Amino acid sequence: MRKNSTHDFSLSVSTSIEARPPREAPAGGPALDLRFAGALTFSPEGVLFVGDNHSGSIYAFEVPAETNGAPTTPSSVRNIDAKVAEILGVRAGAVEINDLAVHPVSRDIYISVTRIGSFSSEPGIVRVSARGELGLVDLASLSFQKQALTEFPSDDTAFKVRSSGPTPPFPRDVAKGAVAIRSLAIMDLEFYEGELFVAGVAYDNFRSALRRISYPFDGTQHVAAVEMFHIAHDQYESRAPIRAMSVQEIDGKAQLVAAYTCSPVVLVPLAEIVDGAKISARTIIDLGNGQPLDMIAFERNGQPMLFVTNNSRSPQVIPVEGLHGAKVVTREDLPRGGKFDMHPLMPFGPVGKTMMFEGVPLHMALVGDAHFASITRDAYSGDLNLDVNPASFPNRIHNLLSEADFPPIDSDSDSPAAGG
Amino acid sequence: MEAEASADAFGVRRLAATSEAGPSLPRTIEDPVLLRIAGSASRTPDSELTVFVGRSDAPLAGRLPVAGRYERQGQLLRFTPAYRFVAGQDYVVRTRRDGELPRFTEFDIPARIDAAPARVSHVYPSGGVVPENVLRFYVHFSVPMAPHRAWEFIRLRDSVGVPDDAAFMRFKQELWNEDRTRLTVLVDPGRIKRSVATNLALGPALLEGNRYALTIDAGWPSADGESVLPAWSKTFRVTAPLRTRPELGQWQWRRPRSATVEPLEARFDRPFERHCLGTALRVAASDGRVIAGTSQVGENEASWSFIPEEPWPSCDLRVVIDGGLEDVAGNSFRGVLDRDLSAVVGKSPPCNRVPV
Repeated sequence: MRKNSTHDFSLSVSTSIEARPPREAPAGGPALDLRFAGALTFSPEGVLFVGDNHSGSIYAFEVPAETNGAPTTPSSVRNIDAKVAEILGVRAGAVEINDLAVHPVSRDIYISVTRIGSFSSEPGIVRVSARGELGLVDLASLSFQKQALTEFPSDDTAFKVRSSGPTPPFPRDVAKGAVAIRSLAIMDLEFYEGELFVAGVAYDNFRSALRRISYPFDGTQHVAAVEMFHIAHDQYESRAPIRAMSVQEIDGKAQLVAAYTCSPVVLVPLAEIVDGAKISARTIIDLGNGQPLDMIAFERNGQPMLFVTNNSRSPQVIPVEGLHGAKVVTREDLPRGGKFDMHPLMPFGPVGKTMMFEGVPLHMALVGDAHFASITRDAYSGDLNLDVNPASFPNRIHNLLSEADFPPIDSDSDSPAAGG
Repeated sequence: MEAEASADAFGVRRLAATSEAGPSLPRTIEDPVLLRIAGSASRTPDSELTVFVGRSDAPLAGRLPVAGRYERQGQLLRFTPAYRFVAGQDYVVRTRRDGELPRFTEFDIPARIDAAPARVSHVYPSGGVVPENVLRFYVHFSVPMAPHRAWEFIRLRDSVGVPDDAAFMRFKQELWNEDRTRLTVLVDPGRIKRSVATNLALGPALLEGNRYALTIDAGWPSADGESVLPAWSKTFRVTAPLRTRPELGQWQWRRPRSATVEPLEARFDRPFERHCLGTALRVAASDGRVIAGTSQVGENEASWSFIPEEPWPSCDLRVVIDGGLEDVAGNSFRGVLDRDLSAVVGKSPPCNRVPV
């Protein structure tokens, strides 16, 4: 009987309190209906842009922040995915991490996540403070603007099934074939001088596209199709999207430096990104096979550099200086045939240096001006960790055993045994 | 921890708070966690009530609390998680009062699976006309049914409702499929076969020209006891008995065009037994290669169609038929169930290859 009365008690109370309605955007704006939190970037003033590939929209949240006077130091949050799962009230493994961005003022790290439920998934943004404290961002309490994408692929257009080699496709290949193309509508966001640049696919024929949207959003956006010559594939390509990009001053004008899968790097002058344009991007680099993840602009000894991470290669540090006057490659410039990593011409162009990076840096961003925040898959344990390390050597060293790890040999002794 | 464990209908562990000091736990994924608190509001809400993912038998140190919203209403502290609780996930609530050790109360919210109510989903033969010597009925149910109860409910009734309690074979073991959603109701062959004792004593269960009903009285419970079958009946008319082998020459074929995926269709000379029909016909190319595709049994189990996975090749097709395929009266290409003992049956062996 007591059990029943407890139950009735709980029911009667739960009907008496109304949930707080989500905060409306000012002046009759759209309601907050974020369905997916994917690509992230901040404006220098602290506006967080969030790509929603499920609804085909970009949200801009005003994220207030206090100035952080403390210097950035290396830090680490182990098993960041499990920690996020605890906050979201699900088991470890029921969370996917989609992107990472750093607040330009507070230097707090913002992570876009998907909470995977039994029948549906929900988006979230988790903040990690400079002190390593995790918290769920209450998006409903923030002022926001929303810009719907024009030319958003329909939800029933998917990839084709492709297997590697002569064997029939594995289940994983078949599953990839079922992925909706619209999930690539927003691959990377870049904010530059009051405008948001968006790489991804538009249209149902998967055309690689660049979008240009002024902020504050006023409803106007430009969508341009992008074609480029792919050195490794020896063909012109227009469907696979740009994976990562950065705006740089090159040859006296603002240009987008953009990296594709397998892995050309191209230049697109911003002036060419106008609505309806068909852009021929200038191919200047091919890093070789692999899929770029992030392109982070930073400075090294006063020189602008691009740190390009990849899911299957070490990061590449490309000096922007080397991109000035770089040779633009077309089909006429090279011998015919595919050019995989072992081809004598590869890697091609002013590729800069390969950097050591221990583990796979799945998501990365600059913290302050001299550190990288990285969500890294540990090569040995498989753990997913959030690390902040110096840009000059952005590594964890716990998996390395080098000379420096050994205790000093007592130079006064004749043999090591004498000390024992 | 003063919590009382009980198991619900699905055998899922549930915990219900029984102490006034303990929290009130959610029963659905929409519910909050509630805690009746002492008067002062001096402490922060999350120091009095915190929810974690997992069980209390693993250390909580280092675990982060579930994010959510706290509201205080008088003596009541209410925690609403930022995301609804997940059914099937273990949670533990930590409550702490001034000067007391923390208490831990576990809960989980069972996944609610709304079981479909018990009903008859199909019956075969599905047509409204059956031959006098129909051998069996298949009754399909929407959910597994309680066993050893069938003959309390299933009857053959004549047109005025009088039951014939000797019509069906009542084996000790009921003829169920594996998950007990399909019951085979076999007409007593002794009533069908001419000159057999039961046939002589009681006569056939069904007589040509009459109407009958297969009925199931209301009240048969499903296997899980969650629902009860409502009353159900199927009325049919009885025609002349079928005592010949199937005649392939009387089957009508509709041929598809090559390079299309048009269906190959067959219209039989009689209704066949539903479950054999599902697998008894295979389609092959003239070189014997089996053609992959999907077959479908047509209305009254008197027709069949087949759609290939790939467009049809441009060659002759062969439909290979299992010689054991039985019609609704148990006759197959190999023989008839009820042979007229006064006549000698002499026919050529069944031709089961059909050039198309």
